[in-house]
Amino acid sequence: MDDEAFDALFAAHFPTVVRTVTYVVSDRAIAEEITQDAFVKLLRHWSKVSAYERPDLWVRRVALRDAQRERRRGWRRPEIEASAAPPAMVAGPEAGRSDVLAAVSTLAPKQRAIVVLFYFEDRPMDEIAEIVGCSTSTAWSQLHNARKRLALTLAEEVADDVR
Amino acid sequence: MSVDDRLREAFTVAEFEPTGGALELVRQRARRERLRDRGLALAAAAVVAAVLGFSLLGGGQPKTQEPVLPVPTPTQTPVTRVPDELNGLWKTRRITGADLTLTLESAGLGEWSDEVVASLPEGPWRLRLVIEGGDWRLWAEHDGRRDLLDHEIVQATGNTVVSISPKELPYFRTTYATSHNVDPGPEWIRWVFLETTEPVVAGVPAEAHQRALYTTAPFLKVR
Repeated sequence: MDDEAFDALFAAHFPTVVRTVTYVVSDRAIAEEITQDAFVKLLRHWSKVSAYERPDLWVRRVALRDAQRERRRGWRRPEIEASAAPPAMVAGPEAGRSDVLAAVSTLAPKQRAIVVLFYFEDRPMDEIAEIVGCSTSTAWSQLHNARKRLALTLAEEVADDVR
Repeated sequence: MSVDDRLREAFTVAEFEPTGGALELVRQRARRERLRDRGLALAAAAVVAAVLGFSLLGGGQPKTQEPVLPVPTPTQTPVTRVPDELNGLWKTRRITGADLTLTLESAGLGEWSDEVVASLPEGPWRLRLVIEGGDWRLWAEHDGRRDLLDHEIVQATGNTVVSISPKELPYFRTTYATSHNVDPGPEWIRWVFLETTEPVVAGVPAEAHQRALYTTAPFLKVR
């Protein structure tokens, strides 16, 4: 049943995509909106995309493409959000990790997406390359550059190979 | 610790639990978009029918004969879009904190004027409103800078009332909305506040923000 397949994919992937996009745009409400948009597009094209081998990669690609374009900021949003949303829905990344996440947020959008997909979603590089729309070797190269930059920012050591 | 360890540690988090309504919201939006597309397709078909009708009924006749244009079948537009004349860039004159205070005092909301003014960048400001494709954005222009103050989605109710809802709060879009009546002039619009269901924020009712920003001065058409 098509509906059931979509519901199952939604239940399995919506939360992770929200979290991934949150790390890319550094804003939970915007991430939620972007993710919703991506799943609306997925549902509208479901008859076609459901025939793909990995519809979950398709929806991530759409969400992360929009996330990389995202630059909007609202003036009242944080206040309204803080006053009205259940804390679990809007709580940002924990403060203890803020320096790492702040450093990640300074990366170029595509590098940021690659770092999040690699370290948070733990995806193989060929899938990451497919999601962000580049070759696998380019994705490795972007990750390498991102690690070097993050190591410099965080004053940490960096090995040649990912450990 | 290596940078890889720091990253893995930073990204180790409890799973985010979406609200139970997230899936239903996605389904509703997909349904609305399908309906909108169907409405647009019907409108396009009506236009084609009108053009074809014009050709068949007189378009090829000599100029002396008045062409008879068939009346296109009215189509229902499921999503109410704002009238075309509202789309575009609008700007107020330069306004000050004292102007906002006067607006709020006139509306019996003077007790919140200090908080409203304090929530804005340092004035005076020229407010810049862009309405396009259902998107509503308001900036304060001041000292050569431009700060985004408000980002909403906008829909029309009839010809004279618009309803705006927080663009970046998908959770609350269905419950938070503010309505303004449109009082159009030849080259400007004046918003007349009607009602809002947005919550009190930091002790200040949303009506105070809405009245201060949108009703203090008319918005002049720029383009």
